[in-house]
Amino acid sequence: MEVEDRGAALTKHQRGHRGTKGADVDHLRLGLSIDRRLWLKVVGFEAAGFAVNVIVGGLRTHEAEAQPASTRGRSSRSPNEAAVVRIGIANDAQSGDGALTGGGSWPVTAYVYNSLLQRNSKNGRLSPCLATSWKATDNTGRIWDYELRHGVKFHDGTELTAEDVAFTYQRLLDPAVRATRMADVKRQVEKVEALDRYKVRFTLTKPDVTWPSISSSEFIVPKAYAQRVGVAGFAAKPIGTGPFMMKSRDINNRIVYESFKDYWGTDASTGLPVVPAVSGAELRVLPESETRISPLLAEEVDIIVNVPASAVKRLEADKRVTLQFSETGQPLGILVNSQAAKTPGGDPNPYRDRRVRQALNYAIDIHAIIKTSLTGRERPSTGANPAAIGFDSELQAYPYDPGKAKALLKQAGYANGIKEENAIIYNPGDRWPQSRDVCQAIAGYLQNVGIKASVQDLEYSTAAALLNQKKLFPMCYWGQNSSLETILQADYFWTNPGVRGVYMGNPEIDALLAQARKTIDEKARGKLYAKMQRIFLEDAGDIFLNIALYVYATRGAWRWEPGTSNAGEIPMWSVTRGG
Amino acid sequence: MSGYLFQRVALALLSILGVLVVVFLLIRVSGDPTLLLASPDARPEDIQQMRASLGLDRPLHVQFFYYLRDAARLDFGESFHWREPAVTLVLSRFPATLKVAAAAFLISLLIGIPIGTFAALKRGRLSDTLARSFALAGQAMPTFWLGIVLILLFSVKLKWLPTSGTGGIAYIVLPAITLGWFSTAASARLLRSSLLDVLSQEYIVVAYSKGLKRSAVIVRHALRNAWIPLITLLGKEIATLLSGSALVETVFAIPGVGQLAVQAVFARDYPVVQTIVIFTSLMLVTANLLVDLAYGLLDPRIRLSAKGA
Amino acid sequence: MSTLAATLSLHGAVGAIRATKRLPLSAVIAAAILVVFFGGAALAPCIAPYDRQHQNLSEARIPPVLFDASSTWKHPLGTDQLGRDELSRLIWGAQVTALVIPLSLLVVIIVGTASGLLAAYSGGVVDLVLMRLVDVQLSIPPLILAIALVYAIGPGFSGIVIVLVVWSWARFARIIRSDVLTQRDREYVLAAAAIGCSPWRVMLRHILPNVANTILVLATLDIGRFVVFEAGLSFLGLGVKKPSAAWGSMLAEGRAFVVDAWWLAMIPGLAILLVSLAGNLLGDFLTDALDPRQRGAKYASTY
Repeated sequence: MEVEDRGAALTKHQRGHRGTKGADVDHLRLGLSIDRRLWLKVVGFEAAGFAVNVIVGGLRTHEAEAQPASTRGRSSRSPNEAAVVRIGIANDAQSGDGALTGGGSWPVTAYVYNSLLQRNSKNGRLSPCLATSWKATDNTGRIWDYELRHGVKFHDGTELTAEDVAFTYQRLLDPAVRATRMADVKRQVEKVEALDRYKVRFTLTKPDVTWPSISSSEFIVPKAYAQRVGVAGFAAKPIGTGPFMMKSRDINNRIVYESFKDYWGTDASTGLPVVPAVSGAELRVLPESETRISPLLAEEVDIIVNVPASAVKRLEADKRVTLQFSETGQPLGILVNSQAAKTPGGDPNPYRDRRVRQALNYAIDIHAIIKTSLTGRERPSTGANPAAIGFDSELQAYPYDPGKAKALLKQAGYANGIKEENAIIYNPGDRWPQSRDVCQAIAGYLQNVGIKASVQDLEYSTAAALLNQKKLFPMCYWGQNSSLETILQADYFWTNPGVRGVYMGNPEIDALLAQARKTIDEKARGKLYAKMQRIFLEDAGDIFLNIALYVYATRGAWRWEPGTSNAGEIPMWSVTRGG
Repeated sequence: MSGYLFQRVALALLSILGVLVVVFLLIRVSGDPTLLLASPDARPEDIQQMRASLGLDRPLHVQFFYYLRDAARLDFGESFHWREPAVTLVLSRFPATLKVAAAAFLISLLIGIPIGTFAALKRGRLSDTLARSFALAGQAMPTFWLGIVLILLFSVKLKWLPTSGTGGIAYIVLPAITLGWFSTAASARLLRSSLLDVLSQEYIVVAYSKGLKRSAVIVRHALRNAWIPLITLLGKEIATLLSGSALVETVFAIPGVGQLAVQAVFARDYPVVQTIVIFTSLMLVTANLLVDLAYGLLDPRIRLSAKGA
Repeated sequence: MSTLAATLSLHGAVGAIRATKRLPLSAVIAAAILVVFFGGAALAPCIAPYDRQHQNLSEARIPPVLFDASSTWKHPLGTDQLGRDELSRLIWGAQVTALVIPLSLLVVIIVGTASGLLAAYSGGVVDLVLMRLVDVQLSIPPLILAIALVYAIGPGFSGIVIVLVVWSWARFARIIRSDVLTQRDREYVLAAAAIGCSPWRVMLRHILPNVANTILVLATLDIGRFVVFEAGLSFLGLGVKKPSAAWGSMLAEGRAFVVDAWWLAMIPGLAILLVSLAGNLLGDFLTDALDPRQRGAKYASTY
């Protein structure tokens, strides 16, 4: 019954849409040119030290500084005229329960929940969300107090309290839940307690000034409801404080949301409560790139994510479509396992030798890859998020020099190259733009210098699990966390007990990182990070590729602004329908 | 008839039991799933505990007993990837698969039967050669490629039909043609040869000599008997259609059972893999059982020979 | 055992040619396609214009000659998304299939024939067990079984061979069994047993040659089936990718570019179609020539 209703609504919507088509065309052409200019501006700014201006949470107390990204682009439209926005995404989340999902499935759950803090989608800064202020109370960064926003409602109408926050974190540690981040949280958090109705205290296992940026990613769930319905029940009907309620989820096919009328977001200028400008949203899972493009052209969806690079030129020429490019700052690369003593076959691990890792970097032509396999707009990576504090913009990516690569291999004793079973590059599904093509191009380049590389596909969450268990040898395409606080994802470098530290270990970096975690002054911390970045690059910890750039295509009169913090994110609060 | 019925049902049940054994063995061959499930910093005792909770620490025959018990309760565990009961997940994907399969089945009959009949009646002429070539090419065609060609032609170039996904009738057309192609060719081919057989029988000659019209002879006498071998083919067709669903659903991005099976292999999600094998086999065995019974009703010789045996 | 296969095929081929006054054109073409296919794969290092690893990003996605002004005779079938020569990839990719198919066929012939012979000639429990095994195997939709097998043993060369053998042996065994059953009570068999031939000798020396035609027809028909099935598995990402991508994998990769570089999906697909068509045509010809009474019904109904 519900399905039929929805069908009827959509047809009506489409019919209405066709009527205004003529008027839309000019509008859209305009949109396209504006977006290009905007894009150039962003790149220009970032290169020129946009990064330097980024100020992140740290120990400072933030008083509620107005509304997050939520108010921008919102007009005073009445909700009655709002419509359902239909978005084509590449992957469904593993579960509707945010605690059970991995990195690739962000958009599916992100609309349902809020976390304590959020990132401003424009500049990546930490800003208040469910917490209005946060500070370390012991001056070392071990004990943190968060003050919660008053009057926030969950979708079931109950009010958010400190009990819910404490429960959320305790739930992540419950073995019965099998939360994705259980191990991380267990390592970081000693205890979470509700001090009063609106105050939560985190006691960490050791001081960590980067805690606010880490803590900002957990979705807060209602204690009473989650306890009542259990793990399976919660996954089937998840509840959060977010702007959208999940109405139905047909796994790997269609997820339907309805705007939450009591959403806590308030408009900073008027002080009035606001609801999203759309009455609902529908995510459609369209795994293949071409299967996302044609529904867009056929007006079956309004926005699609992850437009393949090969289609960019074609869609740019299509006047019905607006393309948007969003650089998330995430540095992409091929992880190279330099930690294992032996290969699975029992040979000595060739990648322990820095010269071999450097040879890998000299062997590939990242500019040619960007031009051919990607959109041509990407920047080569020097191992860190360009917007992060301490980012060293002086550092240069490795040049293409196969001769030098061969020489380095020879020096390291691999004049005859590296055999096939020790040169597998794992590609984790469709998580990152064109990663398969990029991996194959890299394999081709490596073969040119005698490394018999080949590509093997794995499903993203499987790859993540195997990576965490040190079972992927020797190389895997990956994107590091693009957190702005940690110039390089901290965990990545902890030789011990780091989650991905298995792949790369450098005692110098470990020492710098330990120091940074205790350094309260941001400038001083930035300097430590810059040093780490330089060592990382020189030590060739990865095969350095490019900074992630996502392409979105929008059709019709819809308007929205891409965020910078999360891959595949469409900030729903910015979506409006013009015309 | 009841003897025949009993024999068929017993064989079907035996086959299902066999499938269960095969699945059990396959899953045991594939390695220890706890290593994939365990969190990175899990200690050996954590892994041991996980093995115990999944029942993997018991002796093999005990595991098999519990496996059969769970199978009888239709409990095949929780999907590692989707964190839902595998049975719920697989059953929720069946409608999409069955919709396309049913359409493909219809196409194979609506197109295959006329082509086969036509070819047999015009034996040796150009139209027969054409029909035979179609059947040959149809059986040689890689369906996944045909799907891509159809998308290129009807969706990309002509823009008549959607490329992929799910929705109304328009979404089913291309996948159904793709999936039904092989079966269409196979049934056309089989009907032609079986009709040729029948047409050379004496009673047809007799029917003609009685002065019956050609069309009457063909419809009343020839086709009626020529269809019997076609019925056995229908049972096999179910296998083809269920098999083909994995390819067609991948090409057309249809969230059905076949697509789920492929995804489950990549996600190393054994509860889902085993559930799909068991459920599709269950369907296939049931379909074949029904075909056998229909066959027994239509052809008295079969009933009698079963009684004799 | 391979000498047995060779004898069998020689026997059949001679019989086939003797049976028909002249070879039909279709059979000649089909044989030619198969010769080109297997020959090309075997000679890949000599005839492929480019090396297996060759890649040149600056020459990416050049269309095949005659289709576009930007095409070049350097790459008659164009290049893929990484600037690899499509013709060379096709030739290298044929190696996988050209190796998998004869190997699987050999195993299927041995296993299928042996179980068919054994079941029919011994009867009793052996027959019962073998035929129930066949039932079980035919109860699982083939590609679903293949997917489950690949899950269990992993993708790769041996994985594919096992999948093809498991897929085909039951069909083989069943048909051989029914053929043997018609022979079992013939006079020549009874006579051989009467003069004291051991059951093995009767089976191998007397019955086997008389079912050789069936074996040959089944094996030939299997070529086409195997090509398509193997390509299907590769298409799903469950096939052989090393050292060269099989045709099915090429097709799957090309699918992402179906609008922007149509030839990447079209060319390997056509190649698969041609080879499997050739196998089917040849199988048809052999059926007509060796087993004319059947008119293909015996084989067609058991795909």
